Amino acid sequence: MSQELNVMEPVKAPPRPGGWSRWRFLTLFGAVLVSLAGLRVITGQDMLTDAGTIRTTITFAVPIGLAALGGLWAERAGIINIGLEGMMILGTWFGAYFAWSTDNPWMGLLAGVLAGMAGGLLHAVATVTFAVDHIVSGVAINILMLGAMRYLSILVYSDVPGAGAAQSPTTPPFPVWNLPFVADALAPVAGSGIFVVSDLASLVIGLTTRMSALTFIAIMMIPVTYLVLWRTSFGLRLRSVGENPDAAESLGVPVYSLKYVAVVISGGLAGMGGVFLAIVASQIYQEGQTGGRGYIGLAAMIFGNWRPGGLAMGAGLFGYTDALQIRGGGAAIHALLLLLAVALLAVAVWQVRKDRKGLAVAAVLTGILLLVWYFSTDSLPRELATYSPHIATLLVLSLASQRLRPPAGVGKQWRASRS
Amino acid sequence: MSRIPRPSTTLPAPAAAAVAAALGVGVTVALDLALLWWAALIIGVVVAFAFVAWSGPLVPNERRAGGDGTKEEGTTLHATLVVPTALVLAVVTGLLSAWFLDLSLIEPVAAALGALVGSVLAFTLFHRLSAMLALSFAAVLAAGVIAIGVTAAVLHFSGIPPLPTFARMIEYGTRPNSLVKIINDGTTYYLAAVAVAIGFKMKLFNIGVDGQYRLAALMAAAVGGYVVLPPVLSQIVVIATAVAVGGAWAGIAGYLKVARGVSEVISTIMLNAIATGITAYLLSTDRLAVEISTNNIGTPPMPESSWVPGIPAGFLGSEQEIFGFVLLAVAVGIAYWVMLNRTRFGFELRATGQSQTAAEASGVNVRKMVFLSMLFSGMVAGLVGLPQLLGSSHYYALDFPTGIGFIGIAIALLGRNHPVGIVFAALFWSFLNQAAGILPFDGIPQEIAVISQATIVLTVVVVYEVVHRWGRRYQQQQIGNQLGTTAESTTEPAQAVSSDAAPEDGSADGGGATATDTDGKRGGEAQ
Repeated sequence: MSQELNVMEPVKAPPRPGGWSRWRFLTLFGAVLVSLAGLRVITGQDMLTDAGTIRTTITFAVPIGLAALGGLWAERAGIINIGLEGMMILGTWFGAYFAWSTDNPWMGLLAGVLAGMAGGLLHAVATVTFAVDHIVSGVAINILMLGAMRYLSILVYSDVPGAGAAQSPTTPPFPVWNLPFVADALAPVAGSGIFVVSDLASLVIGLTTRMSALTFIAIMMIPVTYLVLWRTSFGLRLRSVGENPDAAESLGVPVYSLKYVAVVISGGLAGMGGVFLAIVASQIYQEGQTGGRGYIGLAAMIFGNWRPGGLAMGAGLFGYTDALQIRGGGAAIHALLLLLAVALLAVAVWQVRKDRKGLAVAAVLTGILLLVWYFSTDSLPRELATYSPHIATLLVLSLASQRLRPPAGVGKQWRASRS
Repeated sequence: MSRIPRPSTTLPAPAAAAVAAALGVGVTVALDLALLWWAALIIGVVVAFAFVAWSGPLVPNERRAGGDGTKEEGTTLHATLVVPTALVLAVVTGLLSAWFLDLSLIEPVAAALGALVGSVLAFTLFHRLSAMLALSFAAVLAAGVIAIGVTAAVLHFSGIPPLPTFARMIEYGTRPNSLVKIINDGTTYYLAAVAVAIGFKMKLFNIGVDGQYRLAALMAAAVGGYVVLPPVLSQIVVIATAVAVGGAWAGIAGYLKVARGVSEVISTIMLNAIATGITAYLLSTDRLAVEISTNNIGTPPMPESSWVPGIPAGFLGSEQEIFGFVLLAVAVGIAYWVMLNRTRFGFELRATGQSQTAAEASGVNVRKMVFLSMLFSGMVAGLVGLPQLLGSSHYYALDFPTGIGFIGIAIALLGRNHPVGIVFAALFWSFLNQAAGILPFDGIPQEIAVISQATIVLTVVVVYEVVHRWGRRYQQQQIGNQLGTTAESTTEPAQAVSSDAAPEDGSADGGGATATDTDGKRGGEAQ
């Protein structure tokens, strides 16, 4: 699983041979797959890698990933967007409402993204034009959207059967895509239970069957973001605004406009995440549906070192633990304890080599504690299993945050030099 | 206002204040016979204010040398901003205090006392209100007006008439029982907001107050429910548990920030979620909880000896009781003020908040400050759940109020992190909550209160930022002018602006000193 992947990353990273960055994702991916397959064989928890888990993982990872992408766009332009949560709420409400009222999920998508963009615009007006503290504005937006959407629900859904203050009627689904023949061809392989091979087969089946159109679009947003931000001059300027707005301004880059664009796009992505939650994940708008995913998206982005690929891994980690918890409850996550313990021991070895005894001792102690926990119980309490991604985030951030490099100008209340 | 002739004698300040007060009270009492009390009071206070404005130049300067407002009297800013703000504040305070006293006294007396408060305040504010403080008040007023406008617009476009709705809210929100509820909720909100404000003062965002208070309340309830102790000791142990748990939970975030560089925003959000998990885990019948009613489980109810008695609210005309924890909240507020303004720690806290590099350069240990302020913030956060726990429910169950931490963030923003500002913000917030409670009976969604709350938070921060920028520019201009005039000649110092024979002893360095003083004051006021 990916917890181990990010904890283990330092072990492999330092030498950094020439082509390393190109192969890093593949290598990490391979490491994760192998360790999960190994864990499955050792513990006998087939659920760790079967196709259903993969599909559920994607369903849970996509909204977090979209929120994280939203955070990436905003923070690369120097604006902290903690209002992602509020923008997602906008997306869930407007997505569900328009999908239901027009009976067309695509209209819902459009409306949700536009609503998210409107939320982003509000944040941009506050933070860019008025130079209000970014977190203050974001928190206010979150409070505002929560109340405003409930207000709208009461007004709009009061006489609709099956809907009310806290939920919408059922929405039409997006079309679902299958790659023909693949699932049939690979099913026996996936069922065979061979180390790595069957896991890989399940992965392919999970990725190619019953995928919603919006899931595909959402996943495509990651490479699109990468290409736009890192391979175009527009992206270069946008990132320069986030790194050093003064320098960017002196070169004639329109700092304010770029910040506006970035925050509006950020809101749009968060809105799309909201639409996904409402239409794909549950086919209904419910109050509190976002459940703090905007914040978790932000954590996933930090976890991913402000890079699209990294945040995808972060979102995957959250999605995976969520999926296991939803599908299997405590037993499967219990198996992950073993992996975590081994990973921590590996970290300890690494820290000893780096001559940081304190950390090493802490890691060893935690690792041993986890091992004891693993062998003395057979299942994790459900309430704690639900929050395992949060614990994982804290753990990973506290182990790896020195290696993270945020955009230099992030969070600054920047004003153009002319005023 | 200087067209009316003035006698050339000077008037001692206490005498001027007394005349103003007598005028205000007299007019109010006289008019009270003919008009409604509030109309009489408004006219009375306005008359008193007019007298103060007229007699302003007569009052000698040295009597009020300490006030920042002194040197600004007569300038354009004073005339256009401070005077109207002072007038509005005096009238509003007079009205509010008269209304409040009316609950326990007869009406004419209450009106007269209200007029007294308003008139004295008119005098004090006119002479003492500094431009910067007036700017803050004006910002809050403007934000309030904008927020009311937005709320009215939202109501209007939803097909609900705004004015009757507001009238209904005010009517319901000022009933005696509502007032008790407002004070009780306000106590809780106040503690949460102070917890947040401690962090905000040094640009540290403790989003985790929510998790800290819930975990602390659960632990405190468990200790109170399972450990039976003699009366006073029991309360002390419960409070200490809550403070310790809150502090420890926030301390994790503080430690991670200091030692591992983890952003406190993210770590406290994660800790919130984990706290939810831990409370859910502990609050099951296998562990800490017992069955409380058919659908509810919670910690065992505390024995009566460990409750905190309420204060009977007869003076508000209500049968209910105000939480005894109001006193603790007041103590926390005072301690916060003292800590901020009278201790070295508070100074370093504010210094770090304003410029981390400057603080570091002058020998402040920023890492220690970050950890300690996070710890203190969490300790105060631990208290948040206690008014409810020890004053009303006496156990921690599934229906324990949640989300107060986020309300605390909003209130701290609204109150500008100032111990007194937060009081008003907390009362205002719980007033809106309580007043909106009547709306569902009329078929109006009560979430309109949330919309106006969030709008006012957003507008307050925006307006404050804008006003603050103006203020800074104005100040720079003024300092520039002062420097210019002192360079040219010392015969006309910037402060000799009154039309009257002001003593010319306020020399150039005096003007300079007050300017820096204002600067420091402004720094304290802002963030």
